[in-house]
Amino acid sequence: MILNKRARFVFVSFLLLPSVLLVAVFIIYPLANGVRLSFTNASPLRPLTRYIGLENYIKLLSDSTFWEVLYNSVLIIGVSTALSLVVGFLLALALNTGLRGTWVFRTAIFQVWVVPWIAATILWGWLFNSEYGIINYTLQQTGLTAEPLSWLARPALAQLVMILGFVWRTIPFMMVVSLAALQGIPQELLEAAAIDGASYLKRLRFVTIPLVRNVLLTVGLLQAVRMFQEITMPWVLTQGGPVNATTTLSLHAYKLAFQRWEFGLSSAVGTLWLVFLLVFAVIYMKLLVRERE
Amino acid sequence: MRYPRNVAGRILLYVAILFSLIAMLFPIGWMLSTAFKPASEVFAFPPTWIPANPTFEAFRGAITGPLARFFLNSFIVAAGTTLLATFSGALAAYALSRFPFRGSQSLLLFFLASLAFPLPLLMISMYMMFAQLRLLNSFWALIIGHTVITLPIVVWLLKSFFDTLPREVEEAAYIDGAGPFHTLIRIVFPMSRPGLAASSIFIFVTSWNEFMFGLTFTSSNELRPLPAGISLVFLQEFQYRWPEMMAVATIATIPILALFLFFQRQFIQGLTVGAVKG
Amino acid sequence: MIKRVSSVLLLCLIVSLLVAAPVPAQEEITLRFMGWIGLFEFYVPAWEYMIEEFEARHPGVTIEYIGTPFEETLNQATVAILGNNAPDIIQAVASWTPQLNAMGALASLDGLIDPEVIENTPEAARAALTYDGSLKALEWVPAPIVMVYNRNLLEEAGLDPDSPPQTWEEFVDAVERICALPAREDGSSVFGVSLRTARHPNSGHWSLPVIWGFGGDLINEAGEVVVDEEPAVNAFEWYKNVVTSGCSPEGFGVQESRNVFMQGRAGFIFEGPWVRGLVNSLTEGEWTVAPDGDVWLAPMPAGPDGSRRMISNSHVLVISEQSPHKELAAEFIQFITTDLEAVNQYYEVSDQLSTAQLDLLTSGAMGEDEYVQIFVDAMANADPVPVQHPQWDAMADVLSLSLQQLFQGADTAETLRNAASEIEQLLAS
Repeated sequence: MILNKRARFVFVSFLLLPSVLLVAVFIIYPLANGVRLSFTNASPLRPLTRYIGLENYIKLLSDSTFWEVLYNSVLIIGVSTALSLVVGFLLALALNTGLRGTWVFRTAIFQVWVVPWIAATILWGWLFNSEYGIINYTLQQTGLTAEPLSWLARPALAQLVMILGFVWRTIPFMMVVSLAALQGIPQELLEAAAIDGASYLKRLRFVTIPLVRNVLLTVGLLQAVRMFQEITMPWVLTQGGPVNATTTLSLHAYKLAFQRWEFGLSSAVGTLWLVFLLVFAVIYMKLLVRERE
Repeated sequence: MRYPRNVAGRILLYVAILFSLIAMLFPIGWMLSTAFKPASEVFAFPPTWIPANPTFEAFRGAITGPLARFFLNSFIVAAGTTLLATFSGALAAYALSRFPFRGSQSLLLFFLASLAFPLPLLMISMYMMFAQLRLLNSFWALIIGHTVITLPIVVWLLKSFFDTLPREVEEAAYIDGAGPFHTLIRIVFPMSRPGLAASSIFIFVTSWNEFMFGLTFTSSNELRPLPAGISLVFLQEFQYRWPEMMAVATIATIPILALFLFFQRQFIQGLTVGAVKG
Repeated sequence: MIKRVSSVLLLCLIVSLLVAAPVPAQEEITLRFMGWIGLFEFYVPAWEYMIEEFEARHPGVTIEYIGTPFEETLNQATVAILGNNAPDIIQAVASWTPQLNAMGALASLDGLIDPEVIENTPEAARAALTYDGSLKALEWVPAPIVMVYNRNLLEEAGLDPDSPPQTWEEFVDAVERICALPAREDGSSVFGVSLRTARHPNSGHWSLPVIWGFGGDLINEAGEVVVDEEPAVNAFEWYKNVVTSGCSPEGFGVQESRNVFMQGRAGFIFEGPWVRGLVNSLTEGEWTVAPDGDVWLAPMPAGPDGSRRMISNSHVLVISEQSPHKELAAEFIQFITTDLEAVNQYYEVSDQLSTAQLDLLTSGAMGEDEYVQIFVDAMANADPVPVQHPQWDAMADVLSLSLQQLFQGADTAETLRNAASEIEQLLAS
């Protein structure tokens, strides 16, 4: 633009200052300090903190709990993200057909996106209550189950309850994003395919999906990454139980840090989490680059 | 003609949409239904879908006690966060959109990546810092924490938005001799209302929703936001008094829902610009 | 529209800054008390009396009450202590004191509290609250956990409600017989006992008397972890059987286990002195707690060697090391635990023991209350701090995890071997 070099430098610095300051003090420093703490026995319950090398990591990696928690997190978040992506996309397809009155449906479903997690959590506890819950009532009335299911006492069922909660809360967002992506597809392409005699399913498979796939995968990935941070539902509903079935990585790290006050050990969990993310990101980038070539 | 031409296909589609709508909204309906039931009707067999004797009893029970205070706290924190995050995020986004420099792409990527950083890991050092600065148990701890988790999205969203604005208007302002600050505040921001509204709503909703910081950084009812307050106070007191619990859940949902319904169009516009382009 | 919204937000920010600003220091002395006593509406009259009377006797002193729910008080106290903002007095549960003490947060009470007052509290509690030779907490409300039973269900199962089980063998048998009773009118089944088995340290804490009852222990006198030895394995095997056979609910926390008992659907429950108040409020006065009423209580059943070892979830009072007014804090503690009027009022509103002062417990209204006397008798065998280690809570959590693993079908001996090694690591940390 028209600003001279110096004025531009001053102006840009001013614009970036607040964000960079916030990020440096409250993200970069905590991250670096967290990695440092993972090599110590830091805890507010100990008067002295000392470096203990890799002890925290050895403890974690040799402990079956950590692997269990990692597996459960990937399971719960992976399944729920995939499911919400698919359902959200299908809904978007249905709404994108240009049927009259669909905006009402879109608006109504999108409201679920702002239901606070805490409200959804309490609600889930009531829906899946083993004695008076409406889900058990319906299942028994329709003859699908003979006995009431104790949803929160069985590991697999508790995981299912979490997954359903995550999916319910995520579908609206996926739907809106999918809809936007679908509406971004040039109409001519689809019309040309239709004139060539391609059926709806064929058009979907060879035109629509390839065009929106990357956007949706990226959004799904972002959503999964955010879900890894979410602890309201497992914390309030099951405290991570039964056994560790609903303990996600963030709940595990949180409990280590702020219930057992083992800052060092919890930092090691966080650092490993960071390492996994890095590895994952590198693989993802490689795949993306290969596909483009 | 994008929709199915034959009537049967159209009906089938409507039925499918209607079915998904019922499935998605059923939990909310059941929440409202329970919240308006008297205690005796909750465990009735078979359950009543619509309360036979609707009552506000549960809401009365829920709002005695500190709920109003939690509400206010959440509002203060969400408003403070919205201002801080929008302000700093909008400035950075404008710089990244209009004055790209060497490393600006990396900076943008870093913002995106920071969304994935393990929160508990960040919280440990934040906790120690806040303890030393005596900011634990203050609104500041929450406002800063919530700003940190929303800032990256705000920068992305607003950068995508600024990218769509025509530069000519700004250039004309410069030619007329306006300074950069003047241009930013008088020209750019007023043009960016939809984008700013979308990011503000996003921040507000995220802050209203946030649980972990509220649980950890506050230790008195005068400061606790809604989610932490509900889980600490009401779940203990109201356990298994489902109408009251559902009333609490309803009260926590209503204001944010109202806000959202009101600004929904701007929000979806702003959001999809960011999501699809970015 | 955006303008209006942003001006509202701006206003909110200004308000929030004002609210967030520190309160100016007052010239008078303010004692800050953190705890849950004032959060229960029916305790409020007694608590207000304590504050007003003390303030009247000490002009210029104000008591500032910081209410924290019971479950969160430890964490909230920790936040305050780490933030260099500790309240002067904290209401705590005895088993939290190892952690608070490890943080260096507790002032020694020797020399602050009148030795007579200290010696008037039960010896078991005094020993448990002494760290490296100095007393760090004063017992306020003793809370031995005893066996509470539904007299009607015992009778229905052909047991004599006037002579409840005396030994663990008899107890196990009684549980089975009550569990065999037919379903209630509304179709719900009857549990023998309502155990706490949620994924929470509290479930692990509550499993200790069962381990003791089977003749086992968590850590022996020599400091070795013995939870994987035979008696403790038998105890957990019993847990596993009783839950998987449907004689105790699975995964229930504190409130749920109480609800089942109060619905008349469980023969036994292990609770403390608050149980009378709970029965009254949860059954809305339908049940009575009396030797010939619906619910009565007895000490925990005796183990194989005839001893009865109980846990105690005593409420204690501690003074912060950071407190600038330790003497005054000590005076307030002495006042609320020894003043006859305060103790009596608290007894009346709480319907339970309201002090640990032995002379007050055995005289006056409390001395005549048969219910109170059962707990007074139990106090001699009740241990408020079973493991004096800052990681006690984590150890209890290991036990609760083990219980849940058993219910999913894990092998008992192997599960407890793993638990033992984890607890050893915690001991060493």
